[in-house]
Amino acid sequence: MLIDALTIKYNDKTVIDGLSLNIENTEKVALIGVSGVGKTSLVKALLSLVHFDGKITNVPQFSVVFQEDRLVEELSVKKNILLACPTADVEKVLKEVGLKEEKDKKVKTLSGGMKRRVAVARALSSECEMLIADEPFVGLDIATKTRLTSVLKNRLKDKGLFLITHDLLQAYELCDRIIVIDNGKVALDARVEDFGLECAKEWFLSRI
Amino acid sequence: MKKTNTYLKKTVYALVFIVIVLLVWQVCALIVNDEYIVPSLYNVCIDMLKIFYVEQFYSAYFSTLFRAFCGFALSIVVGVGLAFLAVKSEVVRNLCSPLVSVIRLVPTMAIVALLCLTLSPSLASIVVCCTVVMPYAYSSSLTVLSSVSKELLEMAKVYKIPHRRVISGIYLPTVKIPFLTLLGTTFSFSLKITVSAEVVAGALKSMGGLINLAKNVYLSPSLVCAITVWTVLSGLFIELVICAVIALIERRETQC
Repeated sequence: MLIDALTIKYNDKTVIDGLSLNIENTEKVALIGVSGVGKTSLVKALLSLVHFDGKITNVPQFSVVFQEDRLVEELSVKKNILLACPTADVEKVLKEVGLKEEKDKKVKTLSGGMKRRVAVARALSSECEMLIADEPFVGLDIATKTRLTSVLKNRLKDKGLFLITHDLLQAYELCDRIIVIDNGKVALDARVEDFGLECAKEWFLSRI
Repeated sequence: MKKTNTYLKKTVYALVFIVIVLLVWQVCALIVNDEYIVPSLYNVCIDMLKIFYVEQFYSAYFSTLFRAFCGFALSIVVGVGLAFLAVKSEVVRNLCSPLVSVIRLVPTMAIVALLCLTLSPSLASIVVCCTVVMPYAYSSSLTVLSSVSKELLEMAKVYKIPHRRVISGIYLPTVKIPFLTLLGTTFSFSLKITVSAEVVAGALKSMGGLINLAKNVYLSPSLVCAITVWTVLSGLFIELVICAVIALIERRETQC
């Protein structure tokens, strides 16, 4: 996937400014940045949900875990997954995320953590080359986070991942490459093996 | 248990309200003491029962219901259809907004008077009903359809969900109950407008026509009140049926 001179503006405010990136479709990339720096806007551009200047080419087939759950509250867990992916093996994917017993329950009766697991299950059910996950583990307890991290690692062995996160630890656990966005531009682009977690922490501290 | 208590509370309040209204009515009738100005509760009740023995009542009643239903159906189709287009297109929404406002502002009886010049009184009642009720159906539908989450529609776009499944999987579950409620209130409104139009247009075989007869020929205000009360009760009955349908749907979905 090639992102070339991407610019996103909202009402004359430039959020992403001439950003260029080359990401292999099987690469696992973590996108990090402070709130309001344009991470979600970049995701929206990749999904063609927002107007942008520049080019995005060789776009893989995406599946998405949104920042909000975006589930139909009045439908059951199973129907929510089948709505997006009619050919999904619902039983299998729900078993992986630990929601097999909740298959026929309406989403509105579930807790926040369970809803997030349904959203992840829906994303994993889709035939995709790359999963975009926009802060997928925010607000989840440690057990659920650990479970979902393990599920993603297993399921995405030969697929790409574009992870938006504030959590450095999570980025290093799931991804091969970290990209830091600041002031609408790439401030850091490094491979995990070349730029360890401690280096990354120091780098962030030096920016404060 | 909590829901049953809420329903019981609401029913008790409604009954108390009805008793208060009837008491006030009877007190006013006693104070005024003139059947032609404020007919007594007793005489209105007698006329409400006597009317069942009048042959014309049944054909008038069902003809009015039929006209009200036609006007209601037309206004729903046009109102909801326009609302759906308005949600999809800002151009349509901007065009509909002044149109709906103008229609809403035109005096109802002026519409009746104009339509009676070209249409039969019966048809005029239907068209008036549609014209008056349509803006209400449009505004309410637009509110309901706009309440469908834009984020869900974005999700549908990202997952390439076909339009038919977006309607059945996203729109329908969200708008089902509000729309049913809208149908209930719109029908009773349609009935009221239809009867009003029938009175002005002088439609034969109609509740409006019976009101005209009761007022101008029989000079019986209590009969006018009786016919009016039956109209109100009919509208209320339809609303209650819709409420029961909604409650059934909600209960069935809870059990599922």
